[in-house]
Amino acid sequence: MQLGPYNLTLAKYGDSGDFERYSIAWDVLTAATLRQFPTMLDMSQSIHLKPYALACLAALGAHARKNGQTIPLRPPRDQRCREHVYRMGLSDYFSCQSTPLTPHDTSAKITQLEDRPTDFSSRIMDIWDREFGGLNAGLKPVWADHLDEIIWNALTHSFSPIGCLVAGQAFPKRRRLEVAVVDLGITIRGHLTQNPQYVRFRTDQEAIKKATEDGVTGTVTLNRWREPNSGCGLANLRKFCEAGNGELTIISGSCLAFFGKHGQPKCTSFPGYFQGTLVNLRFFIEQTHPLTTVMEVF
Amino acid sequence: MLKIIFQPILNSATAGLELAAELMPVLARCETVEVNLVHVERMTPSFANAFMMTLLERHPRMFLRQRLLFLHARPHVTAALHTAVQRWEQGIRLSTQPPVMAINV
Repeated sequence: MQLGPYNLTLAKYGDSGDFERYSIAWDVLTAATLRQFPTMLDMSQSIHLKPYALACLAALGAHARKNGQTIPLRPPRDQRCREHVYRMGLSDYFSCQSTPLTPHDTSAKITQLEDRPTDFSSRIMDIWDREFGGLNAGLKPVWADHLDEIIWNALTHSFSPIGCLVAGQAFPKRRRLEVAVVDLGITIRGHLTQNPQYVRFRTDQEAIKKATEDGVTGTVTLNRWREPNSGCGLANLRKFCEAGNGELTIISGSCLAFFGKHGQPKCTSFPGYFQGTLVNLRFFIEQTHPLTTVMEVF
Repeated sequence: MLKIIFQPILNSATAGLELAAELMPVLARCETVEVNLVHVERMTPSFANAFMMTLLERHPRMFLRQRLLFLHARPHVTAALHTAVQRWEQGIRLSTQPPVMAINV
């Protein structure tokens, strides 16, 4: 679809991040995959931005840069929101006069990853460990492992031209962490249908549900890093969330899928089409479900 | 006996394959391998699956149980390795390994 010059204006109030009401991500995800980028990103009315919204906005900016363009950004008029945008480093991906501000301890600054991030997830968890005055030692490595698997998926499966963008924030009052990973690649269905076993999948909903089952991968022999896959990262994360330890939201292609305590995924149509994958993780600090009681390996 | 100490962060299939390859010659001689996991803080499914499934392709589970000793592992690390073994038993394989049905033929 060929557009004339247009501004991308984000609505007032932002969104709750629950993917239920109007969401910034919809417009941004669609804009990021159009061939014509907006002439300006107008955030003047924004009040509240969740990590996934920031990651999506950064993806838009990174995609434009990759194509030789820099989108001007009109920052939020709301001071608190404006400072949050600067602290999270969003202005690094756009053209904007801003004052460099260091991220809060509760935030993991937007990061673009294109190569193996060996200790990235550990560093994020250390940031939040300080914020909460010490997280449950058994949970920190588990959360970091889940995040690594999602990032690895984005970098090895998606063939995204910008790698992936990661943004995170801790919410001390709600006792939860949120991390979003977004790529502009071939979608989960695009990856899965590379495997002849799954070539029959015609919808993104079918593909996302299947991808969260154990042992399901679109990789035939080796991935782009010359590694084998076993297709267990997303399945592990789904089980973790369905055990009540967190929530997982995936947007890929034309589907939004939510995995949480209720056990059955909730899938809705994404209004538009997103050529890429967004994975949003929520981890609950108050761990109530034992992660493991295994005593031996064999 | 070979004694080996694993590093703190094990989060790639490549690392799993490399470490498995290091142990294979020793196990092939029916010698014991002692893997010290005292420093291991993290082990992702990608690593655990690549490591264990590479070994299980060559040696039966009971053989590895006797010859491959894991020491000083944190609970979630033990769980990651155990889950990899369970997945193998359930027929899940690495994308480079023949699927279970082909083996039975």
